[in-house]
Amino acid sequence: MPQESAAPSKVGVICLNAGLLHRVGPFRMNVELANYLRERGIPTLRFDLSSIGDSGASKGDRDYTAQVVKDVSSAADLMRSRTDIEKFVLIGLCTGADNAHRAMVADDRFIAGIFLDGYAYPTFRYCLRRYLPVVINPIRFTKVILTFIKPFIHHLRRIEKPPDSADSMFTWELPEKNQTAREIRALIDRGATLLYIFSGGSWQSYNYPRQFIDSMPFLRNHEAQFSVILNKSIDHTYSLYGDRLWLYDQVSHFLKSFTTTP
Amino acid sequence: MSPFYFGSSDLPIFGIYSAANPARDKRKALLICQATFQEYMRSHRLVKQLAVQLSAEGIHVLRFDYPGCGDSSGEWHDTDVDNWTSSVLQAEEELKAVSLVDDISYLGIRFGASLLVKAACPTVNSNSSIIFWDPVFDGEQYFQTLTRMQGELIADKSRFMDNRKNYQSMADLEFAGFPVSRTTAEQMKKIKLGPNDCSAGRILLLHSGTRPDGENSALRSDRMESQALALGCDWESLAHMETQVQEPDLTAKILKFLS
Repeated sequence: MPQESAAPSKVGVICLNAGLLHRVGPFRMNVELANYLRERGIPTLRFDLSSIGDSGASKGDRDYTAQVVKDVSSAADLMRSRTDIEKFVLIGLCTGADNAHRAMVADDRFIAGIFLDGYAYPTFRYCLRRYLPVVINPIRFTKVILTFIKPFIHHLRRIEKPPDSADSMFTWELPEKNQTAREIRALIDRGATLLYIFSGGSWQSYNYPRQFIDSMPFLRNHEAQFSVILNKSIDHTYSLYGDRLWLYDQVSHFLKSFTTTP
Repeated sequence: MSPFYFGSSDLPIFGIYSAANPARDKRKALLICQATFQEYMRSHRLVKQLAVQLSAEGIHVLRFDYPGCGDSSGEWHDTDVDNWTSSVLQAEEELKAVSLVDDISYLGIRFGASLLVKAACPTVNSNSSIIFWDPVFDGEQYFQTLTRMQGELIADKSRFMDNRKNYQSMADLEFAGFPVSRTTAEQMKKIKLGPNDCSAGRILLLHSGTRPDGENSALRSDRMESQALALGCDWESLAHMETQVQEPDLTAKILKFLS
């Protein structure tokens, strides 16, 4: 809850789970962010999705995505009942970003989203930056070829693939680009604001600042509602405290347009 | 499971109480003193499962987060080791009040073992049972380990694209990504304890791999039985820093000991 002296906020922030980690977030990131925003008058809700952290498994017959959408909407209901706030901003890292996107598409109370290492689609320039250094370097090129050959060797030797870890349940597949583009266009059309922050941890899939806009050129006309920050010095889970403080500043700056001035 | 806050209103402590299954209530309770920093994150899921399974078997369980850790209030600069130690005593009182059980046993995980022994809970006596899971009793050594891990973290080329060797923490100190105050570090370094420093009548030492008391006389106790965990955990490896701990036989071993 915000401090009494702070200006009232028009929006509440809802933090989503990052993978299997409980609501505290990697390196206590969600708690630190909530405290940071609280000092600036912005209320935040952290919670565990069904089957994660301290939440139980849902007893319904919904599929995973439908359950996520339901859980996040329920979180918004709870926050509304406690704060009278009716509009919300979602923030999620990795699978949390995927879930934030799905929840935003389904519920128009979510007027903004902050996606940390979320969706990224390759472009021609991305491929050049990604593969050209490999092709022109004989050692790296050989390593890549070996990486592709290894599975065939294992297959020939009938080496069994190790069983998937529990975490694999929570990895996400990049949705088809046209579908994502349609959904983002719909979000933009309804007035939503989207901030994508990419770390060095997603360098294999996002390697220059305008990659998102190059992959979905219609976004060029909506840069007031759509922004991307690429900080390749930071790792995927914001393990260093100073990097997390940088993130909280970015989030706070983004949220300024939604808060009421005193 | 009942989550709630307890303790002082200026720095409330977050706890989750799992009441015993009424049909199998053994009139026993277990207070779990969790690990700290990244070890807390790594063991959270397993500790939750442990609490759920023990409560189903008829044992009341309370797990809680130290001030400035997990879901408890406060930041790194609001808390220190003395504060954490006090929270153990507050949690013990809370468990007694909420469960109405006097027969309390204790589980100390990693540095939580030191906090448990340091707290010297008044209920601990020759009839009490304490479980230590990979305990950390040498604060100075633990400080050195966490400092080393922080150095390895910022030099980790598989994690960072850019060289972060010049990274300066915005906190007094940082332990593998977790900010800590200088007071916390100084108080930690002064800790040098062992099972003999607690008055429990029965002690179970659960350890990963090599018996930690094998070469360390401070860890030996006549009242202690020692058991290796099936998988074991490399708590101090940076490579496994973000891997959840899995110990399939943890609940069975603890349940057997408490029965």
